[in-house]
Amino acid sequence: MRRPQYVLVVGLLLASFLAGCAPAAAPTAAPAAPVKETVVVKETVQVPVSAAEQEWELVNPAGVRQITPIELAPRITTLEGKTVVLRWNGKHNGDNFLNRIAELLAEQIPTAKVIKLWESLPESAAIVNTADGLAKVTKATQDLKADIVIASQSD
Amino acid sequence: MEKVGIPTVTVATSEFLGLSRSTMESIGLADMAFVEVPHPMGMIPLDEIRAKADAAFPEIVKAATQWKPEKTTIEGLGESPYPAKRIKFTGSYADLNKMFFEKGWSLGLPIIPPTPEAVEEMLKGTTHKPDEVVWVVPPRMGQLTVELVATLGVMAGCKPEHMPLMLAIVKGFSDENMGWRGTTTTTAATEPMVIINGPIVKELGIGYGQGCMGAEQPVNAALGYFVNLVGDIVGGSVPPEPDKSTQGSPADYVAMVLGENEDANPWKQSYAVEQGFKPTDNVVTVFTAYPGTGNIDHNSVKGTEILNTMVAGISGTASGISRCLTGPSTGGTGVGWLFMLVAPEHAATMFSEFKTKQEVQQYVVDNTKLPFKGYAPGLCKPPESFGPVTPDTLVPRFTDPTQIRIVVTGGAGKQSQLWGAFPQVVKPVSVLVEN
Repeated sequence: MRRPQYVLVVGLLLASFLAGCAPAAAPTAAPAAPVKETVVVKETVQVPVSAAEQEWELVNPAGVRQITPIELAPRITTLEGKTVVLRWNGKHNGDNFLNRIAELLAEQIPTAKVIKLWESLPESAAIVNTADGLAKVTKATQDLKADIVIASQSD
Repeated sequence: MEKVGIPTVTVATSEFLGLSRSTMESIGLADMAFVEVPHPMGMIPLDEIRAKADAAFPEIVKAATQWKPEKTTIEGLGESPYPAKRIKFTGSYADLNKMFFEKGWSLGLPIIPPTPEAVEEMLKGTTHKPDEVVWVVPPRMGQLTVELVATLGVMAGCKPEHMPLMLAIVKGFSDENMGWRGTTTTTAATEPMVIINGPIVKELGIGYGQGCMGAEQPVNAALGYFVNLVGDIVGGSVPPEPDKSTQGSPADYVAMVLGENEDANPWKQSYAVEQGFKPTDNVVTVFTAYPGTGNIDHNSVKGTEILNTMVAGISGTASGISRCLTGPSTGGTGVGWLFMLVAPEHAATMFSEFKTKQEVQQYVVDNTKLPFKGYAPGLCKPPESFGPVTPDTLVPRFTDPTQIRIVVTGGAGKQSQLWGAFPQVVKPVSVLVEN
């Protein structure tokens, strides 16, 4: 140890002695905890119902379905000379998609007559879910003498 | 269209084909001509959507002219809805819950076992016959008999005296003005909402005061749980198909049920009375809503001050889907209805300056505005008479005071909630509670 450090250590020890400090006490053994006598539970413990197996009779909550089947419309075999009604449900870009389909139909099947329903019936550009609303859309489509409807939906 | 003899081709994205097929079956078709395009269609640039149309065009022409159905019948139809089948099961209560969940007969929360005895006891709460079909629940089109109302009520923790309320709630949600199919299959986190008025609120211990929309409200919670059991089990609307909820919400488990705090209503006109019912009538009002937003105003002293902070919140509710200048009957195209669930202290502050609800409604309509740029592209098209519009022009969201619905609810504190109705709600439906 170099001299300055030696002086510092001796000084600190002396200061500690004067301040009443003492070396850390050596650990002493902890007092022994009183030993409890082991108790054996002999009485029967009731198992909660939630954990016990049992026979259950239950009512099936699903309910049976009621759907009135409807027939598909007769299909067409060509778009040549047909009236094609495009139906947009108001979702973003559905009109842009169908606008492009209209352009392609005009280019590739020029004899097809293409009608955008949302232009003749603006309220059809929505998710129509009432009986009145659906009837209105259906009638407008029939009035246009549609041979086929191409619809765009989804997000 | 198919029903009236017009063939169709339906374009759906890959993510939504399942929902489309579910809808197809529920309207009675075993198969339809679908053309699948890669998801998404919305929120992409014009050149991308046009490219998707180019790619799909040959398939569309083929589907229009060559498609033939793969299926011609829908399976599992023709069974009698009553009595419901009985199930024998051996296992613990925990096993039973697991089995119910795995079969799609619960939402994942524990249920009370619907034993025939418990269902029979529940049926004592109504004069309706158990075989009466009260709703064919979309999209699965499950037949909800009174027996099944009782069954689901047992499962949810309801009691026989709740049967009239459960039946009224069902009547409300089954109304075509509610747009249930859309609300239960939408990508939005819509929440079924039930507001109860009349003496029945206190008689049955329905929460209407402190913390009424939260926990420790056993009747509200049981009724709310019942609503979602109906929708998901009998209605079959479970994620990921056909319930397309992007994120969902806790209200998918337990619908929001609350009583109006009629005693604390300073206008002395409850919501039900405002709708034409008598103060002694027990009335259930239902609608579905986008997640609400809170108004936490501790500072306003005047009526206009509290309403100004309210309209700030209302302006932003259901952002993105909101349209400008909506009217009261815009089902399917905009948020047509806004419910203010007003805390009594906030109501008192409003009342200090606005002595009728109509004055409040008018103030809200006149002041709820968004800058034009705050509406999503294409969703705000003011008429020419509105004048020129810049991105910062303030454009009102509503046009008619009746679009704003005021319900006083809750206890002490300065907290209110603002809920915008789902667009397919043509109008909120109020139903008289009968035995």
